[in-house]
Amino acid sequence: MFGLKDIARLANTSPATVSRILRNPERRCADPSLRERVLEIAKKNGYLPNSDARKLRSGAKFQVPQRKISCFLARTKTDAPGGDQFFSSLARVVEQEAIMQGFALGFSYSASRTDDLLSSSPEDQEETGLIVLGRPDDSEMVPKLQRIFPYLVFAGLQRFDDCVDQVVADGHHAAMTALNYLFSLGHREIAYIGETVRELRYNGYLDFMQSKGLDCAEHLIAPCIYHSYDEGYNAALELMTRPRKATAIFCANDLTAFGVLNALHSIGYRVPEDISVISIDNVELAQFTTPMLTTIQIPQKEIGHFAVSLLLNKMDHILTDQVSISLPCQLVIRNSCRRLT
Amino acid sequence: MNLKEIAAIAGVSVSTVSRVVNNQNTKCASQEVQNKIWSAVRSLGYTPNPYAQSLKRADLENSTRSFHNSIAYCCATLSSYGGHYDWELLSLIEKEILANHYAVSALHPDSDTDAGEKGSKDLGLILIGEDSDRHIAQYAARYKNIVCISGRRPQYPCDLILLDTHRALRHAIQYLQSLGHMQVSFVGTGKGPFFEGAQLFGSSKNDTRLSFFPCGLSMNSGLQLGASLCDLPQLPSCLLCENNAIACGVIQAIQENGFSVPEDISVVSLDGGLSLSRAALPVRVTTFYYNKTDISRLAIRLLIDRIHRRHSIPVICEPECHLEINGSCAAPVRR
Repeated sequence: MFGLKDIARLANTSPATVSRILRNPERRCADPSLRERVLEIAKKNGYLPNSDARKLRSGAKFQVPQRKISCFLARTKTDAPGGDQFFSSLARVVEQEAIMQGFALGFSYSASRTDDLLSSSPEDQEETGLIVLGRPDDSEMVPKLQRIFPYLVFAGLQRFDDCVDQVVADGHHAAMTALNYLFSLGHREIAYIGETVRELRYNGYLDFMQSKGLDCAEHLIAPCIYHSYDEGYNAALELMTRPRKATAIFCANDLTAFGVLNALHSIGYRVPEDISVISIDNVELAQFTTPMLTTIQIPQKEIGHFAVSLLLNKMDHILTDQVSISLPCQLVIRNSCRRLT
Repeated sequence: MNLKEIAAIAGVSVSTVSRVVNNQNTKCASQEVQNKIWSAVRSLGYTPNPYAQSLKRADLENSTRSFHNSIAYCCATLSSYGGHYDWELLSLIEKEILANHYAVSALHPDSDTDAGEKGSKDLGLILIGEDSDRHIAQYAARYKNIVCISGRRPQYPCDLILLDTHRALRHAIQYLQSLGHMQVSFVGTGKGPFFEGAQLFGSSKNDTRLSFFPCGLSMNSGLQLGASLCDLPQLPSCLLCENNAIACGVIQAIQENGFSVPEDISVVSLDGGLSLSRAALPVRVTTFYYNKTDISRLAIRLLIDRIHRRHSIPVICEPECHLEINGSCAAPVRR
């Protein structure tokens, strides 16, 4: 970009002088030839004032965006911050993207405040886009919300069959990636710790074990009621009392894996020498465990980016059709898995 | 409302606010401070000054966003099985490239992939149609940014607009079944995703009987096939055509032979080629189609997003498949 400073340098004068001359060509300079020189240089180099810079400098008013983005954290039952690390950090990413793409931020709702969301009137929501994070327990929830919010995008880990715009990083695929990695390291006795009811990662585990013709009997599965540190800890203790030992543990998420790692440590098992551990999410803390946790990266930033872009394209009527966007999950190899010899 | 005011409320410096708002994984502030900043952002309704943003961004975008730079598009090896191009989609893609302030450069699919040094100004490539993974890898080596528009998933990881032929087939078969058809005949080329999809349905357990009539992708081939169908002892109960050209040819031939659509035979097509479903026939073809305007917009936006490095992982976009009921289908005749 050719700017005032460049003209000043070539004309051997100051940017301020150049600015004055260009703004007011009638202006009389101390050196009459200077004006000609500056105008000549500007013309020759095709100088164009930067309109953004002008508006910024003059403090021009800009249209404050009317459009808002609200987030609905459908899987987060509590209002406590950090109640669900994965979705709350995803909500943060979405909000950041929203701001950068010119939205104002609306309210965020957690699942416990579903009624507030459902009771809002459709007239107020024409300028509001809603991003639903995670699959609601009630399968009728999304159609209900669509009646209130004409612009709605679902973002999560499991694909909807319903008619909804969605951005999905496939949890089933993530489970497959993790298990394939363990398999490639020679593990055949792979245990599962995590939720087992309506859980995509568990289904992925079962599908994988079956497709490879591996045993996935009771003795390899330690169910949790929900994904948490404590549940993971207790499940791992219980798992290790069983007579047949697994060579690797696949945990449904990082939080559970933290519990598992500590449980294994407390009863004298070494990871990865005695047993390998892998999980899914790659939350920030995963790199601070001992050993560092090998996990599957869920592309949060990209989920946020595409969810907001999709919503924007819909609200601008650039896209009219429903779109499903799927994003890949990538393996992050750290130190908690070992090759069997 | 600007960063300074938020900084004042949160009791931190302007640069801390900037770091927190602009950078997700910043470690420059504790979680409490970050929460405080975000709640100020929310309650004050802060939005970044677009002039300041574009001033800052200008370097990257102005350097790429001009007619000096071009986006290329290329039809994949489609030509090898039928010489059929979707001109409507190609022209929409050209339009969309221009609308986004890039020059258009078209690539011939059979041109030597190594001979493209002159195309060095192309910032990216839109590859239309199904191509082999080897070809895609070659293109990807030449163009850093590439988006494929394809009826099936290539193995090669690249941005993809997936017009899933298999899914369209499933919708079409379900639709025909709902009308009461127990026998579906596929009409299309013996190669490519349509054929593969048809075979997959054939091999899966199904109440519906399936058969396949090979046919070129032109109206002429459709005419010939339609005539030969009329010579069969019994007309098939419904046809699922790979594109509109075939469907129109078949309908024409069937009517010339004294049968009528949809009374004697139902015809469905998967859209492709010109919008022939509106051709001046007595019957318009019922089609399953993808919205081409949306496809071209999705593709160009995805490519530009990648050119500006806003994403780097391979992304798959699947637009919705529509059914346009036009009266070429009815319940099967009882024989």
